[in-house]
Formats: sequence, C-alpha cells, structure tokens
Amino acid sequence: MATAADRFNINSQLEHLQSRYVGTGHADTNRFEWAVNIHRDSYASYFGHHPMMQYFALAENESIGRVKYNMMQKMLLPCGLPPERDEE
Amino acid sequence: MRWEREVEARNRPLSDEDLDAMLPSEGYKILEPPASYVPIRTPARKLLATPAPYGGATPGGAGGFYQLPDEDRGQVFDVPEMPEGLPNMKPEDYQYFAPLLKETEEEELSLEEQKERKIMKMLLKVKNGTPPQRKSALRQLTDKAREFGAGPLFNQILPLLMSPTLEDQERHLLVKVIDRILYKLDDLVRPYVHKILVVIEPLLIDEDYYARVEGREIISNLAKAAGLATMIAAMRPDIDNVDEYVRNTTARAFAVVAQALGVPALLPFLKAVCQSKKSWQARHTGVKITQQIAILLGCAVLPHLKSLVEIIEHGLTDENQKVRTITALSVAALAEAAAPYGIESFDSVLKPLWKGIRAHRGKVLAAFLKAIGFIIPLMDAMYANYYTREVMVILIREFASADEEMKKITLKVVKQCVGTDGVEPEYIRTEVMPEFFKNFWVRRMALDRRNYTQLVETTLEIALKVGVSEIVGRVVEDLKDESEPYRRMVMETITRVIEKLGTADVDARLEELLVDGILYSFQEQTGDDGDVMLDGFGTVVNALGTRAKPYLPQICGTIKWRLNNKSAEVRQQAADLIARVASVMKTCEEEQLMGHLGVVLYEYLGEEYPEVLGSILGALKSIVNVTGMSKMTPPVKDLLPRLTPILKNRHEKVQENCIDLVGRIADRGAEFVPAREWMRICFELLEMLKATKKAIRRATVNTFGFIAKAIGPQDVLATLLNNLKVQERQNRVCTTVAIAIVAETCSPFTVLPALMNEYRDALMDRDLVHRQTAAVTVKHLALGCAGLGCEDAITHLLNYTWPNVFETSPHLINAVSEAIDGARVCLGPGFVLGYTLQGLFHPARKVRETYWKIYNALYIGSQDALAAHYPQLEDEGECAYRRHELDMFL
Repeated sequence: MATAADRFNINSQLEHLQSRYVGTGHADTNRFEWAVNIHRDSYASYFGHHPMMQYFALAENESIGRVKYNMMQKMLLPCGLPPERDEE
Repeated sequence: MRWEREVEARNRPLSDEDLDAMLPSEGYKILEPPASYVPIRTPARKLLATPAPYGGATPGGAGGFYQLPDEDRGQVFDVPEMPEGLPNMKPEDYQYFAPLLKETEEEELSLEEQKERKIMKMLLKVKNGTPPQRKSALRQLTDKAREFGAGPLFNQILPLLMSPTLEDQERHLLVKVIDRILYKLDDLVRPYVHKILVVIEPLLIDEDYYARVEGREIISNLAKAAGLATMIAAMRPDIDNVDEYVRNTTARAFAVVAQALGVPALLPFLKAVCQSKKSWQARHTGVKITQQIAILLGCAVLPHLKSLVEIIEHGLTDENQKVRTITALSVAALAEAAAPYGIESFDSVLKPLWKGIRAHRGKVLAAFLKAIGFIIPLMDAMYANYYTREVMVILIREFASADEEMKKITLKVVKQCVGTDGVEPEYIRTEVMPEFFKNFWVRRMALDRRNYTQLVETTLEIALKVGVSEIVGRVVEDLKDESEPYRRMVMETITRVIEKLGTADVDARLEELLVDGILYSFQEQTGDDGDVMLDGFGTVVNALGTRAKPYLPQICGTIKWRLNNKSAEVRQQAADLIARVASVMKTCEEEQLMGHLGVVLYEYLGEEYPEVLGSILGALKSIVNVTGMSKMTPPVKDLLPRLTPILKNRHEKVQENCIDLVGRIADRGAEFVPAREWMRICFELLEMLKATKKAIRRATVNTFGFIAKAIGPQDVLATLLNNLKVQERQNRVCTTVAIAIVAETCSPFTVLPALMNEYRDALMDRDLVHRQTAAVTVKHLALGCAGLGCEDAITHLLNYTWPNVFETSPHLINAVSEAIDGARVCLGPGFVLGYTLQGLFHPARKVRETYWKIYNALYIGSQDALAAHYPQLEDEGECAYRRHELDMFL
C-alpha cells in the first residue's frame, strides 16, 4: 500500500527518469513519439559505429560527410510532422 | 525503567483504607507497632537479588549490602482510562494531550477545537502508536495539512519538540511530521518561520550527530518552502543578539539556508552584514556564517570562493580581536574546503595574514597560523618554499607554547608545510627536526587522543621527506620507555613509517635496536586495543623480510612461551602474532620452525576460551597458506577431522575462522580427505547459513563452492535444494546464493538441469514469496551464466518468470524486473524486446504501464544495442516511420 508520499516519489522518479533518459516512455506515449525516438537513436548509433556509416555511404554512392550531414538534418523531424491529435 | 516502576506501584503495600475494605470490622484488635520499630523500606527486587558473593563489601561500605535508595510509596501512578483506539500516554505527555482524556461530545466543540482535537489525536498516534497507527496518522496529517492550516499544526508540534523528556525516536518522528507538512504547506508557513526556527536551531549544535542532521534537514526544507526573503527577515534580528548562543545557532542556520537556496542568493545580504558599522557582533556573526558555509558545502564552495573571500578579507584587520580571530578561522575553513584549488582567490589575504602572525600572540596567532597552514598546500612549489621558511620561524618559537590549542595547531601547520612540494628535506632536517622532537616527543603528548593522532601523522609526514632511518633512529630507544601509552605511540609511528617507506635504509645496528625494542614492547604490554603492538610487530618483521631470519628463533620462542600463559589475552595475542609472521617465516625458509608451530597449534585446538580458539584457528590458517597442503604438519588428513566438530561452536569468531580454514583446505587440498567427510561437513555448514554475522554466511557460501568443486556438484546441490524448502528467509536467501556460487565454480550446465526442475515448480507456485525467491535465483543464474552458452536454459526460466510481471507486491515485482534484467544480459536485449513489444501499445492501460516500465529498463540498459532490433514500422499517411537506411543492401 503506497502512501501519498510514496506515490509522489514514484511519479517524480518517473519524471526524473524521463528527464534523464530521453528515450524512455510511459503508457501514454504514442506511436509517433516512439518512432521519433527510434529514429533518433538509430542515427546516433550509426554515428557511433563508423562501419555502419561507411556502409550507408557506399550504398548511396555519397561521401561519408554528406551522409552524416543528411542524417543530422533528419534528426530534427525524422518522421515528418506530428499527426493531428484527435480530441478525446 | 517505567515498567519496573509500574510493577512496583501495583505491588505497593496496602493502605489502611484498603485493609478496612477487605477485612471484617470486628473480631480482632489492631496493635500499635513498638516505638523503636522502623520498617524496612526497600524495594521488592532487592529481596530477590542474589547477595554479593562472599559477603563482599562495596568500596567504602561497612561490609553490608548496598542499600538502594528508598522509593516513594506515596506517589500515585494513576493510569487514566484512554479513549478507544489511542495509544497509551506516558506521564510526561499529560500536559500536552490532556484534552484527549476527557470524553467530550463532538458537537459541543467549536470547529477550531475539533480541529485541535483531531491534530492532537494524530500526533499522539505518531508519537506513541504502533507502526500501523503511526503510518495512517502520518498520512492523514500530510493529506489534510493545508486544511488544518499551519497555525493549529505548529502550535501543537512545536511545544512537543521543546519538551525536555523527548526521546530520540520521538524527535525523529516529529521531524518527519514537520518535513511532510512543510512540503505541503509551502508558503503558508511563512508567518511561523521564526517560531519554528527558535525550536529547531538548538538541534544544530546538539551532541547527537543525527539530531544535527535532522535540524539541518528541517531548516533546509523550511527555506525551500518559505523562500529566501522570509528566512532573512526572520533571522536578521538574531544576528547581533546579546546572547552568544543565539548568534552561534543563527550563523549555522544561515549556512544551511545558503546550502538550500544557493550561495549567490545570500551573498549581497552577507556582504552587508560583514561590513556592518553598527556592531562588532554583527560582523562577527557574518564572518562566522561564511565559516559555516565553507564547512557545510565542502568543495562545492569553489564557484563562490572569490566572492566569499572578498567579503571577509577586511575582517583580518578589524579593530575587534574576536572578529580578527573568526576571520582567520573562516579563511582556514575556506582554504580547507577548496583544497587543492583556489590559491588565486586568496591572494588578497596573504599579506594581512603575514603581517598578522608577526604582530599577534595567543589565540589570534593560533587562528592566523591555522589559516596559513591551510593556504600553503594550495601554493605552487616556489612560493610554498618561500612562505614556509617565513612562517617556520614563528612556528618553532611556538613549539614551546604550553597552550593545548596552540600545540594542536602548530602540529597541524608543520604537517601541512612539510608536506608541500617546494620544501627541501635538508631544511627540515637542520631547522625543524631538533626542536620538533625536543618539544613534542614527550610523554604528555601520548595521553591525549587527538594530540597523539596528530603527532603520529605529522611525524609520518616528516618521515616521507627525510627518510625512515632519521625518524626511527630518533625514537627507537623509546620503545623501552616506562610509560606504556608512550611506547604505543612510538610503536604506531614506527609502524606507519615503515609501512609507507619500507626498511631499505635501516642499517644493521638500527635493525637490532628495532627488533629488540618491538620484542620488549610486545612482551611488556598490558592490553592492546586497536592491535597497535601486533600490527607493529607484523609490519616490521614483514618489512625486514629475509633480514629477519636471525631473529625468528627468538620470536618463536617468545610465542611458544606466551601460548602457555595463564592469561587468555596473552595466549590470543601470541596466536595472532603467528598469523602475522607466517609469511616471513616462509620467505626465510624456516620450514622446520613452521612445522613445529603447526603441531603446537594443533595441540591447542582443545582451547576453551573462544576468542583464543578463534585466534589459534586463524594462525593455523596462515600456516596452512604458506606451507602448502602436502608439506603441512600435522597432515591435512588428520587436521580436518579434528576441525569438523569445532564447526558446531556457537562463538562467531571461532565459526568464521574455522569455516575459512576448512574452505582453504577444500580449495587446495581436497584430495587428502575422503568424500564422506566432505559431505558431513556440508551438513554442518548448512547450520552456518543461519549465522547472524554476514561474514560467516559469506565464508560458508564460498566453502560450499570449494567443496562442490572437489566432490562434484550433484550431492552438494541436492543438499542445498532440500534446504530451500525450509521456511526461514535468511536460510533460503543464503542457500540461493550458495547455489549460484556452486553454479559459478562448477560450470553451470552441471547445475542447471537439477535446478530447472526445482525452479520451474517454484515459479508457478501459488505463494508469491516462493515466486519471489525463484525470481531472485533466476537473476543470479542468468548473470552468472552470461556468455557461457546457456541461453536455452535461461529462456526456459524466463518463460516461467514472465507471467509474474503483472504482480503488484513491491518485492516480487522488483525481483521479477531484476530477473528480466539478468535475462537481458544473458540473452541479449533484442530477445527480451520481442517479449516486450506485445504490450507497449496494448489497449489496456494496466498492460501498457507495466510493459513500458520493462521497456524503460531495457532501454536504459542497452540503448545502443536496441537500435538494431526495433521492428520495421511502415509509413502511415504523412509520417515516414520506416527506417530506410536499413533497407540498403550491397
């Protein structure tokens, strides 16, 4: 049985968690947000693993720098604009 | 105490009225006692107490029993009727909770009074109630805090806190209440800030550490709730209060506020206070606030260092002596907190400090020296050298001072100066050391604890600069001094110096003096707290290494002689000494000597005193370690059966050492002992899992591992699994860990098949505690077997663990989360993601909440690795969900 204080703590911890770890979610996270996080994580991963970056550059026949630039640009809105919210 | 008083009260002699009520009114005559009769007015328990042996007299008494002081029989301990549901009250509580005793109708009371009554009830429950009562009362108080309002709440809580008979636990509970309601009330608390501070500030200088911590916590929360302006307004009048006690606590309270709200917020106010032209008390308190800020914040003071120094620097030349002293002490505190950085901020105070030490004497000089002592280590080599030379002249003059405080400070400053880089060893040798040894290495210094420690540390610091032989050479003769505390101090110093620097520059003559000295000290000691002599002996002999060879026969002779001593302490020490020097004996190749000692110790295994027996076992262990199993005398096959019955001994030290020794033999020399014997030992060890001391449980678990390696895991495992079915929690937890260790030492695949059977049933059990224990084990197993090719087994276990994710009991859900985390390590995050994805967007909120929690843990654990495992999401309308890059294929 969680007292009011504990419940507060849990919520604040969760909030704290989300503020510390950007990609975490909760029950009300929608598909779009989740997909945005996936995309951003993926790009970050490619940046970190150089062989991946080389592979993409090779496949696209672009310079590595250009591929990196493009990915950086896409970080902003990786899935396009957020969908219109249906008022519940 | 209270209980005893109550019992006494109930058993008090019957009064005349009672007798009249009980006995018939006629048929007898009441006699008058004779005039010379004086009744024995001693408490009942004295009659039950065993008389002192042999009619022994208390010192000063005339050979009779000690008379306990008379109890006042007239006191009425009237325990009033408590209304339903409220905990009992102690007599001290009556003045605060008296209204609760009267049964009044709710309607008769006004709204205010009703509120008061409710608050009173809840406070009583918090203070005196059982844990469930306390919990619910605390919760109600917190929930309704704003409804009750700050006034009624604090009007009742604060007087309670000021009660002189408040116990530690009660104070802690009331602090908890205040914390909770402060959080809820926020700025509603503003009008009451001063009242609260008056009650809480004394806690800041309480003797009890936890009282101080709680005081700081409340003031911190108060500051956050009420805001800086209110706090300043409330505390400002007390800054130049007439009473020094109030100024002291106010300074500390301000420091806590600075920590809570940030130093920059307080700086303008602080500046104004420190420059107050009105009163020196205000300036004094302002500087003291800075000192307390430095002490409280520690290294976090660095960003504000320059501003703080600027605020107080003029205090060094203040007209009032006390202000000068406190300023120097504050500068010292700031320098100590900022070490080893920040020398630039202190540039402006260097000159006043230097002028000061030449001009002042006594307390002020001591404070200035302290400040310099903390600033010099911050400087770079060249300046440090220069300034050290300057200050050393004064220091050496003050070596001869009789004032205790000055002595302490000079010692510390010498240590700090000597430790700085730019100071040359030659300088120390010629200028400092003669006077230092003359004034400080005297018997008086050994008697005060703080002086003792400081002297040892300073001498160590000097030794680091000038070398071992200089120091040891000067003090080694004093190992034979008459005063035992002094000998201990010498021994401790030599130990620490040799520990740090070794014995390389100890020449032959010094070596002889040294060994002679430590032998003498060891033999002459009357009591060794902290094992100073033992440590010293061990360190020196170990440092000498092969050079100790000629002395070993003599040392062993001493040990054997002392093993026979009638005093248990002496025997214990002798055994401990063997443990320390065993490795040296090996280095000097004194095999025969060690063998001989082994046999001697084996004879003593029948020792009665458990402390001594423990030490003997420890000594045997060290000999076994260096001699090796095959060359050991007595042979291992004789030694081990002799040890098995000792495992039954209840004393902790004996148990721990015995298990260690058995474990060591199991580890290295298992083949010398038949398997039956090991199984017998296993059963004994099961009892050890119940031990209260954790070290014993840990040793037992390790030994299980060794034995499992020796005789194969099957039998050991069967025993442990049977043990799991026992109810006691501690037993089960340890058994779990033991099984994990067995799994770790013998490859897991030997263990898993047997385990899986057991655990599959446990994971499906109705009782959630079984499932919880099983989940814990799954976690340990998964983590232990990560990367070892057991994925199929762990998958199987995960399949049984997973359905438990919807449990709500906190311990169980914790255990399950950890098990899933363990599975992530073993099986890979992608695998676990597969389980998780099903629930992330499930229509039911409860499912989503749970699964997102699991996902979050998964994510935090392996964010990068997950990137490869995300599912392919198809584009939806305008949103491009598909990760196109991953479609590329060369």
